[in-house]
Amino acid sequence: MNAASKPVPSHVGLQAQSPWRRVVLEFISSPTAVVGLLVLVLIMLVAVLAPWIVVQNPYDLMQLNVLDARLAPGSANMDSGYTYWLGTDGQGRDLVSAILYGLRISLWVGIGSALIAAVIGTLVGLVSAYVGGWLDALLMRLVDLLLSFPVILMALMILAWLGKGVGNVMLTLILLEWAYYARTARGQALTESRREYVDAARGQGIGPWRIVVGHILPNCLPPLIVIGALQIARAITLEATLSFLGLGVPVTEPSLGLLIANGFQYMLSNEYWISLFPGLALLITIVAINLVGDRLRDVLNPRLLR
Amino acid sequence: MQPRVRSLIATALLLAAGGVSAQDLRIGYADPVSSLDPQLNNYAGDRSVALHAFESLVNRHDDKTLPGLAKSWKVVDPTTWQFDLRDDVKWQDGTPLTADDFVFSFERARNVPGSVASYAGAMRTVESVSAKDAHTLIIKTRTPNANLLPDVDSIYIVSRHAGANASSADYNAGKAMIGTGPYRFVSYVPGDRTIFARNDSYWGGKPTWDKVDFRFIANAANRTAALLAGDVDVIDKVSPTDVERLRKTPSVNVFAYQGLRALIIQPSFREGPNEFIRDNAGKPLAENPLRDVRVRKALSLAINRQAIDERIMQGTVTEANQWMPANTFGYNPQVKNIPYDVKQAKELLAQAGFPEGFQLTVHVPGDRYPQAPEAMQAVAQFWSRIGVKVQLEVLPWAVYAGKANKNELAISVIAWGNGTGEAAYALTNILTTVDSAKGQGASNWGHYSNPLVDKALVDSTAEFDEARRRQILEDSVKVVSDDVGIIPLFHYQNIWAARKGLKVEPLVSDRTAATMVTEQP
Repeated sequence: MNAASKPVPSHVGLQAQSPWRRVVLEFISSPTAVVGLLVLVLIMLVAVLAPWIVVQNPYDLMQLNVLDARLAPGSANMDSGYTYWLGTDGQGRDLVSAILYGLRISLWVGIGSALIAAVIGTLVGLVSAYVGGWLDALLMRLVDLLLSFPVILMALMILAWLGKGVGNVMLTLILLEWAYYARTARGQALTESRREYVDAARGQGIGPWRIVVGHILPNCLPPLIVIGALQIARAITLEATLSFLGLGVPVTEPSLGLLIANGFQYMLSNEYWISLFPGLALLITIVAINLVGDRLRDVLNPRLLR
Repeated sequence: MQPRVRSLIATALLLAAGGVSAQDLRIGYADPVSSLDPQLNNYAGDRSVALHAFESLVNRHDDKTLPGLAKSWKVVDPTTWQFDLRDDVKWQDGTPLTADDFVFSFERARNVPGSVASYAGAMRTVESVSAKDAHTLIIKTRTPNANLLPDVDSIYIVSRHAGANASSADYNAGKAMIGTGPYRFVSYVPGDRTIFARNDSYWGGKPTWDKVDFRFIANAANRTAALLAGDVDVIDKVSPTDVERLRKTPSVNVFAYQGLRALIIQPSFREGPNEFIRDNAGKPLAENPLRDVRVRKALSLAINRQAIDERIMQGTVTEANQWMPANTFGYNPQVKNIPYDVKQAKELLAQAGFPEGFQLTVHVPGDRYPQAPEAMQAVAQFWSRIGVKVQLEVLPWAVYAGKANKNELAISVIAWGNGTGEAAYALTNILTTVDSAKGQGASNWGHYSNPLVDKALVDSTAEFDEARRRQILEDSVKVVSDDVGIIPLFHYQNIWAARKGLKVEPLVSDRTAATMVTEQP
């Protein structure tokens, strides 16, 4: 599996046997995963390009008009004549614009926090496994503590203390999620560190830091990538949940979760679109990420290899 | 008395028809309850719960005062009031009610440990309360106070024998929950519900309901859903977004009444820099621009109140130009609706030295006043059009109230209940100079201070002639309006909904209690 522990093959041979190439080939052999990936790429593209595509900046109060509030999908804007294809929310926000901007927040919060949590968690896991002893015990009990707490409750506590805002939501998610990576990285690293190639490296007098980063870490990556993909989806859902509960983003800059929460009060009066469309956007994003994540798990899990 | 008589008839009719023997009423209400101690906090939720078990000195209906625990009263001299108390009233544990209980109640209300919204304001003019005999009460005031009845009537009467050593926790535990009201306490689950049962020894008409399940449902949509699902019989504070839907539902009746509660913006008058008021570069301004009447006027003129009424509140409010709604004692008809005038607002801002506006952080509680965050978002939109860039922060009430009380905010929002139905109540609590020793300005979160307003309260309090008192209050409305001491937005309607067969009639302002609900065959 590891290039460093194998005899050096010819250049062409390396290409043909590259594990990542196999991963890519296996990944695209599943049509649903490919569809998921395409949808995800598309969503990320429109989210990144949102400021240039939308008709209205939904976070600029100057561009909103409360007289356009709660218009049904397909209604025309009163001032400049563009159409609200998905209707408007209670403040006169164009829902297409609001959803795209909301996706930006969701993806930024989700991917950003998942990546940072991954780096922190992996490092902690590796150090814990390699050093062992009381440090390992301490770190892993901390992880146990974090994992045993209901996530929402923890998040509510942290946010009540830190206050609202996108930055604080990310911080909260990072604080909650690094534990998953740490636990996995440690387990994987413990297994790997008993392998022959690690002994061989030690025998050659390679320093511990180089062994951990250069030899053990690459072999721990596959499961961590899988967790990463699923944690992004989890982080996005959690952000939406926290915003729905009024603890996430500011009300004038709604994310998907807050859009859904705002529309919730109009559900009984048949103004369904305010909640429905942001909800669908959230649903599609999460499903796409999960499809990709599931497939990655299948192709990266050595135990599922035939 | 009217509703009581009616409820009596309704009950009689039902009994005669041999109908249901056990009549239970389940109410879903919106206002959080901080404590069952009826004297701890002057909060809407606390007052509604207390209305079941406790009573006050007299009965007030809108701006009329009717006999209650006191049969009659007279002003002996301008600073001495004498009340003749009913002698047939018993506490729910059987002990007779005496004047001494009133003495105890009024003294306790001045200072209940742990209070964050005390009743001290109601007692500000009272020098002493004493019992002449078992059923005669004397209240002496420091200065003549024509407004004494609405003042002291906001204080619930608790018993000395059960309450002398009771803390607020003893009320929550039920130990001290012994009142004279139509319903007696059964159980209380904080944040969830209070259960009451009929007080069979009630001195008035027989209370309609055997058992009252008074349930806290914070979310308006959840209240509506609970009513539609039949989980509760009555809900209060129906969300404007649900009114139309409920009106169309045949199994439900909607009861909307002109309310006394006004949503009011309180600008901060604090001197010096405020972290929530910054120049366009983001640096806190050295001086508070809100102290300039031109800036306050600009902010008021920039708001399209009609749009808020129609688009946000869906026609369930009335545009406000002062703190009292029309046809109340102290309402000034000369003060006209505030026009929506962006041009003039911009000019005023420029004159005040802010042609490009400034940055302003606005705070609003998210869990207390119906639709307040939504309305304030619209206000933020309007203000942004004159260059005042608003950041809106929605806070939980517990956090918000603490900050507002310390005058830490730049713009605070209050939905003032005007519970006594006359203008002096707001003068006392939200407009006069903050002075806790005098019990003034308890909810004057912006620390507005105007000698003319302070004088108006003093004068109106001393004026026993009703016409002249009315005039003083109306003049004070004009003073505040010209000075833009507060920025009024709208008056809420009070909206209840009940399952078919029930009728809801308001008792006082927007309180909700089982006594308001009668059978309607």
